[in-house]
Amino acid sequence: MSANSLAFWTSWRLDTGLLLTLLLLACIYLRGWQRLRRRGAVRFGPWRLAAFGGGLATVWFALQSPLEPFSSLLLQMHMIQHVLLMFVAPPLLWLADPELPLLVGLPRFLRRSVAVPLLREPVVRGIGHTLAHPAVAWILFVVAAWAWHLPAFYELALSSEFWHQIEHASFFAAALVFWRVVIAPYPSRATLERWVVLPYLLLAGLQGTALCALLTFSDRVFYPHYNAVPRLWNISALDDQAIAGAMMWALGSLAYLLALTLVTVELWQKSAQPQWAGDSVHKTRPRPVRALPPSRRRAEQRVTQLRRLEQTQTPPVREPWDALRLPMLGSLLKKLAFRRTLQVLLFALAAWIVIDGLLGPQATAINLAGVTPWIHWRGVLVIGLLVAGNLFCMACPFTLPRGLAKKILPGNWNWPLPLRNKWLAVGLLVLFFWAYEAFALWDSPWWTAWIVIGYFVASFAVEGLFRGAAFCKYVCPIGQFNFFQSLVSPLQVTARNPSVCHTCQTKDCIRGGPQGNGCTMDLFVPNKASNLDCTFCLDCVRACPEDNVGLLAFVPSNQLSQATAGPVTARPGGTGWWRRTDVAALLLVLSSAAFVNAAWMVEPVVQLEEKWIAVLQFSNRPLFIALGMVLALLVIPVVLMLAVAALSRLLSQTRTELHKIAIQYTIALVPLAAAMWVAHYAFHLFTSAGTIVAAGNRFLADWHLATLSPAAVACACCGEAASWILPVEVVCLDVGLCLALLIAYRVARSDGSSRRTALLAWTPWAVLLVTLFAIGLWIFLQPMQMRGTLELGV
Amino acid sequence: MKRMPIRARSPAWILFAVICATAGEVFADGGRVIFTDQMGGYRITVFAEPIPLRPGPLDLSVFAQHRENLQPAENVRIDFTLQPPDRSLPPHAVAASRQLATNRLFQAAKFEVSTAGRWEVEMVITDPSGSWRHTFPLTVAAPRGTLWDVAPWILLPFFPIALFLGGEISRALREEKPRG
Repeated sequence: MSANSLAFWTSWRLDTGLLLTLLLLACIYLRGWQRLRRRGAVRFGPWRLAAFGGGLATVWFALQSPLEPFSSLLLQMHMIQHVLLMFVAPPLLWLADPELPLLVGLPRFLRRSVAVPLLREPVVRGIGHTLAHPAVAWILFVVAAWAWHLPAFYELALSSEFWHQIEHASFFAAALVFWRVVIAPYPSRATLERWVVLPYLLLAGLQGTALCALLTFSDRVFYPHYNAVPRLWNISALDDQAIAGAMMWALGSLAYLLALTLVTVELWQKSAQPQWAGDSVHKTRPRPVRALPPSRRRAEQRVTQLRRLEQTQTPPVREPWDALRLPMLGSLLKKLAFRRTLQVLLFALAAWIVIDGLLGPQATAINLAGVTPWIHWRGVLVIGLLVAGNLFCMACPFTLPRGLAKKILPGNWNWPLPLRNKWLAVGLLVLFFWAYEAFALWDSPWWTAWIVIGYFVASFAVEGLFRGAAFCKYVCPIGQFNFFQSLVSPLQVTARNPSVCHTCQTKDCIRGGPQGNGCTMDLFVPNKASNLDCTFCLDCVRACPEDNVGLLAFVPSNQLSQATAGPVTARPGGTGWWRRTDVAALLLVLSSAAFVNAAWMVEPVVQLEEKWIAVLQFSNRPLFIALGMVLALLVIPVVLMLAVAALSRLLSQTRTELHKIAIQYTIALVPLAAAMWVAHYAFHLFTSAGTIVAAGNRFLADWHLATLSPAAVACACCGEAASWILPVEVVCLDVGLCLALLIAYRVARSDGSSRRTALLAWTPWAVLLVTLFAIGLWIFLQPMQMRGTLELGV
Repeated sequence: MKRMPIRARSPAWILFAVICATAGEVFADGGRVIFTDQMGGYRITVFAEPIPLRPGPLDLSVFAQHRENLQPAENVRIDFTLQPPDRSLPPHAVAASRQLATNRLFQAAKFEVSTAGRWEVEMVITDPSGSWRHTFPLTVAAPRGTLWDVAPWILLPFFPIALFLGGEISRALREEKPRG
């Protein structure tokens, strides 16, 4: 084998993104195909699965095989790629009748919440209908083929990665549209008579011949790029061009000819069938069973049986996915000992932080109290809350000594009536955000240690003096943050089967019973509609004698959507509870803080702060920051909400009071703010995760348990943020914006007004949300302080 | 067969769009020819990517061929040294390697270019019979800006939002049409 050939056969690419996408599609198709087969859909035979797999494999081969790296050196390689993308992969994919299996193969929540609503959209249906028209499909295909073979565009594709992507994507997309008309995959309906496909293919073949003849018989090289690159196998650029043209001619003609033959046979067979056997439009009309071959007859009988069965039986209600039903993990989560173990572990971590914060060096980047809470814990916390719900409250170390506190202190006082709301927590949160900036808490291990100690003391005192979990519910700022973030989590502690709860007499989940304590947060499981106030302690799970409480998976926006329904109730966690002023205030402060907290650490805002302190000659920085915080967290958000509410009321011409409208829509801020928190804290985690190595090594060295390692200290330096971090931050905001707009629209529709009125009422809120999205983007595009890390080279 | 809750229209369009979007991620190392000449007994062609060159990752790929028969030369070592426009910064020196190249005819070297301007590339070709040195300029354009880099991600949500809005507006208009 020559060196050229050897190099050719070893030049494969491995693009994980493409591979994973194709594998994902294959898995979805396979799942749908299996489900349809189980339902008796005889149409989906094994060869359709093979066709789909073959189509995906062709796409992969065209883009990942040696054809790709050699396409910039030889035009014929590029042409083979195009033939595979235009004449092989699309027909194979359509022969698999992919639409139904792909839809059925999607996870249920994606199918119901995203795919089906999207496909029902008139705009999407209109686009699909237009593309299915033979004239449109033919023109698209021909324009794509000719336009990209014009020297100017072809050279553009060879000289720019972006345009090369567009070239391949447009070839493939145009070919998908073209071949769909030819193959007419089930369950699509032909828009015109089937015979139209014959001239459709003939004309496509003619124009293809013209294009290929131009390339094959030309006496000049059309694409100067191939004159500039080194020649392989002693093939001149002109010969290469002629071979490329001939290859496309032969392979393209073969594809058209094969399609023409098959369509002609199909038309001939149809014309030979009796009239009742179906026409081109209703080609799936069933034939009488007697006219079918025995194997097909058996299959049809099975389908009929299944249909009858379905008509006589009520389909069982499918329970959502339940984390507590997972083997091993589910039973582990339910055990009180598991929760205690997690609490003890976090208690030990807190003790470690306190010891190092008080006794260690006051250099943030190498002190455990300087990095662990502010970089690692916060980052892991927000990701955990997003993925799995309020796991931190489950493992909270501050409530570990609760039992001891209740024994030492009276433990039976009632929490004061005026404080049975979220106002105290709102105040404490504002106080914390102020202290964080004013005293640079993140930069002081000593202060951090004292905050942890203060937290333990406060928790011990409140839990020891008052009934229930007053600290978690009314005081703990971290808990409120966790409740807020877990509103967009996909997991929720709730009843597996609500009808079981309706017949329950004992109500052990709230009262407690022989199997365990009831909910200390006063959440009654059947009324629970969200994660608000739920600490994931799973007491209700253990207490329920019917084993009817689970950790169920829902579409993340469902909790927020349900909030728009139902009356305002005093029961925590139930529907409508969100419209309480104190809860709205909590949501508003945490939403504003998401932006303020991130903004206060970007260069332009820090400079603005310094400028204003100088201009106003403020000698007291904490006071300046207090004013700034009051403005940014309270005054501006409230004024803005009321102003937007006024505009919304004006446009929709309703008579609801302004503050009620503002409170109602506050919930729409949650997804965007939650995205902001996740993107912000995950940024610090991903850019500065190595700091724990430095701080841990220094701690162990101080206690003579290890030697101080200069390599470990290097981990405490701020490095360049990886290139994928910014896109991930933007995607977080993207998802947050979409969910926020959706929730706002559901709020607008919740009072039963018409679509027009709802759209008008929604518009000002949409503008506000898009503005907040733009502010979030601006913040992430600024250079961010790498807090808690050393400067490079230190 | 159980009836589907809706008549499936074309979910495949949407899912195949994903393929289209990822299809283009594939691009051979190579790019634009920035240098081609005879050096010793070899014909050397140097490709640079991305096009145009901007601050950030830079790929230099070299194709060394025997001058007489244009067959790929295998026992050739190629070293690059990139001198930044600002001479106070240290130069980057990297040896090209076949393992870094997708096209195994090439030897590739990856660099991180920090600034825009006219860089100087020194290329040294070494084989058992000797070594040859050549210097040529490499112009790196001004950075495109972070906003441009993430623009597709920023615009991403506006596609579903526009679809949703379009649907709701058309439904609202239909609701308002007098019946009959």
